[in-house]
Amino acid sequence: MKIGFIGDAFDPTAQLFAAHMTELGAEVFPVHSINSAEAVDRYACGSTEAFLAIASSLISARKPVTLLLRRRAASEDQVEFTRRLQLLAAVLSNAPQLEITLMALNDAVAKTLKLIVGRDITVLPPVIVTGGERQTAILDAVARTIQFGDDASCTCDADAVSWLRVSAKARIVAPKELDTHNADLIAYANNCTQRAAQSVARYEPPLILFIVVNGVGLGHLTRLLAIAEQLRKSAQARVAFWCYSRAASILEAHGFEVIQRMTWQHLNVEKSAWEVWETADFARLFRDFAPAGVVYDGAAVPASLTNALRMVGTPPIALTWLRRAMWQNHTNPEYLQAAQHCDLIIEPDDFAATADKGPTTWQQTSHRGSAEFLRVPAIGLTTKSDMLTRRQARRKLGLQLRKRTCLISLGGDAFGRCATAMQLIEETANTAQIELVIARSPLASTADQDSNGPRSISVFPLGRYLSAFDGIISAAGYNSFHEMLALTDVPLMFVPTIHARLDDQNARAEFACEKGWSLSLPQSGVSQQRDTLAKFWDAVSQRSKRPSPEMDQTSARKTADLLAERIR
Amino acid sequence: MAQNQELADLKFRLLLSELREFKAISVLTPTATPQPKQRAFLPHTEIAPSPTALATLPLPLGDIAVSSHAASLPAIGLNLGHSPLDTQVSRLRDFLLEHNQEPFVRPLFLASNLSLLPLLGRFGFAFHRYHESVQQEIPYLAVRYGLHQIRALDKGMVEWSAL
Repeated sequence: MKIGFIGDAFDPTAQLFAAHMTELGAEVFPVHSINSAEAVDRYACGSTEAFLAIASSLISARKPVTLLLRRRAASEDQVEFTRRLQLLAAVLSNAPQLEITLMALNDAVAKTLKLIVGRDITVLPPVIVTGGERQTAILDAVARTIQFGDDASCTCDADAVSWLRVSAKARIVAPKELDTHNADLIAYANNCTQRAAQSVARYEPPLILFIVVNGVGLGHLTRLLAIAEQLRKSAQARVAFWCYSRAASILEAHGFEVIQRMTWQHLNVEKSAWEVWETADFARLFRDFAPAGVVYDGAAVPASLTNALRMVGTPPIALTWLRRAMWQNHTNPEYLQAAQHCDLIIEPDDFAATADKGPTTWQQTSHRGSAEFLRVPAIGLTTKSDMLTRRQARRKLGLQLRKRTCLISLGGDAFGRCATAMQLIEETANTAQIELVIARSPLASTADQDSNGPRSISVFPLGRYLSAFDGIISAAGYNSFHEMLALTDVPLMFVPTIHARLDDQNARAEFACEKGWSLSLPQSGVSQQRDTLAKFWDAVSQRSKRPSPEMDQTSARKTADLLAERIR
Repeated sequence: MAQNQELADLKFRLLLSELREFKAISVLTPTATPQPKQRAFLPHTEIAPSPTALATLPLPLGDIAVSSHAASLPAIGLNLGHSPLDTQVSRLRDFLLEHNQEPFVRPLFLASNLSLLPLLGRFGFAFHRYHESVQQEIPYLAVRYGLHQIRALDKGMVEWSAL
């Protein structure tokens, strides 16, 4: 059965009302008008106002209607409230052909409102939620916030979250006297029936949706892929990707389901119009496939996602924010408030964590809701056991076996950005008789390739080929930084990329330099750059070894385990 | 306008040079074992109901073309089909040449695989990968992009029309 919902699609009472219908097997979704073309079996109205606003269309539609009646909220005038109910009674008596069911959140409401409406009102059965032990949460009905437990920072905006998730996690109390509407809402939410998540899982293993943002490089995609691989390997989840990155084919080549999406920038359309589509499409997918969880990796959790998660008809879905640190110091700390929408925040460690000066280290989040925070070891896609041997890697890349060869991996658009540095690198490498191999991002243009310049390769994942090289010059993005340091022991030089949308690569490069793990190419001063390069080529020529920090080779698996355990 | 056309021509030449060397992303999967085929997501078989009206998203013209009346050009889906990549690239080249000289549509490239997404996306084109058949996704695409028609890129045959 398809039920078109009329009213505020994000209203907490409406979310619980719709959950009752979905529990009975219906698909509930918001509609903005009564349209005969819409495939709807019946309508549900979230309030008297919503019903009255389109009563004539509803009566003409000749489809059954369920209307939830509520008591008065503090903001409503008593006389006006009563008048509306009287109008409802009049409309209904004039439309005997309309098949309508009136419902209320509890018996007291049903009895009170029956006196005005003059019709029987059915009490809504308790909503069924999934989850375990519930904590106490305090509702401030005036400020519209909910505080979980005693910690004031564990607060969320009461109207920005799914009340199905809230009622599964907490019993809500209100220290101040509430208006009748809010009192009814809390009583109903607290009276929910709990059951184990496993008993309602639609898929075995459960489905998890991973959301890949359109990053500057492949960092978000790579990290999520590492975890997805482990979830699949251990059969703990079926992972599907909702992917804004143009490198989506990488995910597909790894055997994952991919829903390819375009951003508003890709389409060059107005963000607000595009966001409405994203919200509707996310909500549609959530209703159709009911994933047990959603994992988002990026700095700014999109409103289209959080809105879809609290839309009427959306089942309760756990949101995990995979949030690497090392944000640049000027990054807007307000992004961190998105924690309130999350059930779990996972921060992968960074070798350079002690050099992190970004907001994740100093911003006290005032709104982190009920999110659990976990830190895991640094996550990489490639482990040492995945790597090709030097001989295998050189053969696959078509490189001579004996020649001193250095990898240059400076990121997607490096060749415009680092043109001067590249010129110097090429010139000095030539003098040192070292062959250069340029790793091009699979997303980068090939139009600016110089046929007389160094050989270039475009492979994924690059980490598997690193044994082929006697030296590496690399950008200091999260994955490159950790994989280059941990998977190899050849001379390494970082050339940090400075980009507003990227992490603090400079801090990483300086940290590694101080530790003696690598060199860092100075950002200016040709003579200093020449000196540093001379030192580097010398080390490459001598096949010097450098210290490598240890990376937990099981981190992706541990993260996958944590995720699976929390989502189940 | 003349300057815009020059810029578009420059982009067009870049696109042609990339097409000449085009290769799909080379991915080395960690296991040689093929992954079991799972049921594909088809979230867009119907118009997604929404709490607010879903406005049509106008398709871009792409960076290689200029038109003083771009907004009034019809939104047309161009189906690259299931043919091998080399064939797709060759058909694409013919269309792009025409599009650069005298654009007559705002194209939505439709394909059953993602190989051409990085290239077409980089030059400002809209791209949609469909699953089993494009027919299943037409109701969604028609509303989202205001499509007038879908044509097969190889022979120009009309596969679907809004009229």
